[in-house]
Amino acid sequence: MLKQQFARRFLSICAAGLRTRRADWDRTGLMAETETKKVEATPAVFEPKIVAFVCNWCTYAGADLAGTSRLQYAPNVRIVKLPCTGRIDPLFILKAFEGGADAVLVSGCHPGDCHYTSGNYHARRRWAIFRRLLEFTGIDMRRVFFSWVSAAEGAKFADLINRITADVRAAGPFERTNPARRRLWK
Amino acid sequence: MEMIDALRADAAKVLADGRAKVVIGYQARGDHRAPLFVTTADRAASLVYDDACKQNLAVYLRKPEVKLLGKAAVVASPAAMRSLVLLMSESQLTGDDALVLAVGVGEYHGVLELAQVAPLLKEKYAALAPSPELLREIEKLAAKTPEERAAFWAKQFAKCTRCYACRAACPGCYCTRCIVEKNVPQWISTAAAGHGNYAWNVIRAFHLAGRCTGCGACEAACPQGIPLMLLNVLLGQEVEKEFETKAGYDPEAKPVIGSWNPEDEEDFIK
Amino acid sequence: MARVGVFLCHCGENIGRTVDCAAVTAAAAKMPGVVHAVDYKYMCSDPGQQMIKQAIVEKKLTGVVVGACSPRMHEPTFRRAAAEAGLNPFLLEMSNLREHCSWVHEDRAKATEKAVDLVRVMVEKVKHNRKLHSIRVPIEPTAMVVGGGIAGIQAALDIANGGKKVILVEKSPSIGGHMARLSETFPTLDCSQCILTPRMVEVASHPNITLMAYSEVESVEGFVGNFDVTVRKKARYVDWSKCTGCGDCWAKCPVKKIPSEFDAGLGKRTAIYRPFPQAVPNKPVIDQEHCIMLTKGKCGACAKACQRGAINYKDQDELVKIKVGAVVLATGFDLWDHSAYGEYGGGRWADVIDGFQFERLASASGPTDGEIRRPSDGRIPQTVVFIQCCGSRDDKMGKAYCSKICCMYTAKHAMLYKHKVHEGRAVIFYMDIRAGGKGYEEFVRRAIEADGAEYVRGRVSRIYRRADGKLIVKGADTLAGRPMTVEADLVVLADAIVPRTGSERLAQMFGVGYDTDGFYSEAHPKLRPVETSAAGVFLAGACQAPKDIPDAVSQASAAASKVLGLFSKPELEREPIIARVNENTCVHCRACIAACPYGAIEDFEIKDRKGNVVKRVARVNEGLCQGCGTCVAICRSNSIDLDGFTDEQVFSEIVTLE
Repeated sequence: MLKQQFARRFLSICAAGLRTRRADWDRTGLMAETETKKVEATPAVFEPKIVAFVCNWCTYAGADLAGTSRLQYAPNVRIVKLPCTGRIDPLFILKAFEGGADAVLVSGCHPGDCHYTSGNYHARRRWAIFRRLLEFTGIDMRRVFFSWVSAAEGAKFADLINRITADVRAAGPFERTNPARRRLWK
Repeated sequence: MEMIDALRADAAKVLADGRAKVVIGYQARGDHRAPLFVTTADRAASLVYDDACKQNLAVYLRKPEVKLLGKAAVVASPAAMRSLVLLMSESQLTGDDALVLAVGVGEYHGVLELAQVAPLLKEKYAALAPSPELLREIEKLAAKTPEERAAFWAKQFAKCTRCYACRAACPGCYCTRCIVEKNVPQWISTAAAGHGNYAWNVIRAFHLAGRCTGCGACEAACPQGIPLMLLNVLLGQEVEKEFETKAGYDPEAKPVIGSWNPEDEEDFIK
Repeated sequence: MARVGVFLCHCGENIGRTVDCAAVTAAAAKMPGVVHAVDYKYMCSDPGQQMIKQAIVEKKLTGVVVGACSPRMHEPTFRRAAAEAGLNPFLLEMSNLREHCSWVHEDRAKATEKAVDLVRVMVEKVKHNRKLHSIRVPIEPTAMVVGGGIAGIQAALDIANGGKKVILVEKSPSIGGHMARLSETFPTLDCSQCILTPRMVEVASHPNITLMAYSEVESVEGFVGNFDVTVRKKARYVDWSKCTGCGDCWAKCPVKKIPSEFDAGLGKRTAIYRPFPQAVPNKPVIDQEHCIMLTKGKCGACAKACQRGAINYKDQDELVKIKVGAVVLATGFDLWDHSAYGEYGGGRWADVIDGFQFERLASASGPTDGEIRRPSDGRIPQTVVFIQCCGSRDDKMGKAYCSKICCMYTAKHAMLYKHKVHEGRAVIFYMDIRAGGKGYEEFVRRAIEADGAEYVRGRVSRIYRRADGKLIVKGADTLAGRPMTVEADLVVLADAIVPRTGSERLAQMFGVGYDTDGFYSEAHPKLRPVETSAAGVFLAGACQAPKDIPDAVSQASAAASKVLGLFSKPELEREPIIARVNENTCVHCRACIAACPYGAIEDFEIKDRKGNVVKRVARVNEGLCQGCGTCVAICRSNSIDLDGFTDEQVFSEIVTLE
């Protein structure tokens, strides 16, 4: 029994080494990518859960472009699509943290590019205040990301997700210190 | 004439003249100060006003049972007057809905129409600011690590029994159905524990961002002594710094959250 | 009870290669509320759509989730199929398993896990979807074309000939654009003005076209079918209704030395001027910046000369509000400013010119009457060097893209030069010759073989001016592998094509996307090349990407046909993604009214039977609401909700991600 376990563990380490090397000469050459590979075969390493709230016209389309351009990025993000960043209620962010998200990303059109002319300006102001409140009440600002990603910025989206995944992985699981987390104080 | 005598005289006069049907002021109950609804001139003598008057009486102008009494004259401190201006800017009060018995800092400004409140505030109380102790407290907390802050607020919010006294005391919390009462979907858990307490207190503060006039009635009303003003003032300072506006000075003001400026802060958006 | 059907597409191998579709299907089948889950190679194909339709009927589905490509690609396709099977199209949602999953992840296990999540989220969302019905909005059957170059002219004529009214807005005093400045056109060498000017005249005389020359779009409100465009008619200082275009005024104008924009600075014009003799409208304007009367308050020579009394020095800009149903943007291009290239003289030498300057030198109507004479001393150059890719294909100093038309016009320039100066030498430095197009390769071959243009593959590293006026061009012939020096009399730079200055501002007004270079973005790079992300706004010509005349004209005709298609119905069906106010809980704080980008939320008074106001609330105007949802997030009591993205839907998505 023990022997079997040991053998399995040994194999997985070998596989990890192989995959790491493969990723090293991967054409994308992304560091974060390399790390993902290292991580996946070692069960102890933590895979962050990232919830992204994005607008339909810029960032969602930017993520589409990352896809059509076949840019590889970390599979840790789950996108919730809204028509506009203006639709993103602070309650969404709270709810995502409540549900155990390790990080939340909010992303939309660059200033001036909003499909609805000014939804992103409203959102920008809302976040400027809300993030101060989150920070002050103990949410680590290394867990909340705001970005502008246009429909033309597929590469920026891929880089962003890789960067966030790497940062949050470095920061570790949020469960212990997340004040919004469900069942934190039993 | 003593300030309180002038106030009582004005209260009696507006009732006697029929300019108001009810005066909303304070009465003494031992050390405690409770609201008093005076409907006849002869009872105006029971009115008191001193530093122990923590409640913001502007809150009553929106209550349907008070509205039934007829036009009110409300005793208001500068912070409460700012609440009145806020309510005007949010179309909750209009020109002749109420009269104001304006109690200033160390002086009494007499009976004002609602339209006279904002000019008085701008002239005399433009520099109304939170207490230095409170600001120091905020600074101290902000300097801590996120974990320490989370622990601090965890301890505070754990005390919350969800009695919603803070909400009832606040003139800005006038929604007939509060977000916490919305149950399809239930964004904020109503159980008096953990994440529900966090979400409730955070969202309450957020809904007052750019609207809190700093009267402190919510904190005074909290039976558990949760330092709510730390949150309210933090956001008030933030709004003042970033968007150069203070709640309750301009009856024509646009809502801070609900307007924008192309130059708004965005260095946090990468 | 919800009865959800899940349909997973392999997209050939595009999804199946990375995502284990069978595993996702198995997982989906176990999700609560799912009564039917299948996978198929091509869900968007006819048999695939049939599978969905059949299942909707047979399994009595109340919701459908299609896990396939991006909803931006095929959501309309699948929603149409659902509608055909009798299911409200808004009860169908898509999980983006291709662009957001299989194409961006390599690890099969991880990608499959993510795909299951993406499907689960949409299954939960779709359970909360409600039946929505398209909103009908009347269409104003008038189109606006912005830009009066060949693309704008073609679009305007096509729409007008289709029987609809067109308003053509042109920034400069005349339509015609860059094409009016060209001498001959490739690959046929027919005279540009000869083919263009009849079109210009047709525009001016067409009963369906209102020409607004010397005007610019100021602001835009509204939406597809109902745009309210404010146009600034710039002060002309000449009453065009009185003016006959006789020319007495500009003959008398004392300010005669203003470089002519039309002649690319090689010719001169007066302060009261028409850009060129065939201008449409053929009426002058006063250049406010140079007119002595307008700057110093004395002169008045043109007013004295005008027998019709058409000169009005007190003329003012005028703002005109116009209602249109559709817009074609045809704002065209400019040449990149080559002064950034210090090694090519940085714009200091008169004899280093750009393509338009050469066109004017070669044009029979140009400042030299069609003789190629160099600007500095008017001599006929014996050696001309043409440098291609000046600013194009250079992501460091210039633009990363290929400007597409330069190879052809440089070949044309060399040819025109050789036709006029038979013994002269035309040397062309090129990186690659890109002559894709009907008759284009043959044209370049003709320039080389019949006319003796010398093509040198290599870049020019430096140009300097010798004391005798010769331009010494130092380059390399990379095919021969040796450095090369040419003593030239004239150098023509094929500058990169860039969008018009100010095109970004116009894009922002119309809500059209643009790329990092400022070219307008089409809705889909392949399948929707003339639409934009803003409904009812179409693209024509070089504002979208560098284009030659035939391409610009084709796109203009395509845009016109899109406009006519839109106008073929009296009403427009709009997606019913709009906000709704819960009037029971609304407290009329008016935050949403202040915030709405469209002014679509209004005050509303609820009255009792006697007409007394019981309550004031906010109410959404369905015709104006565009469905951004900004009001929803601003409402403190959550008394507004957005159809299609309701709180319940978003809530269930977030909760499902736990």
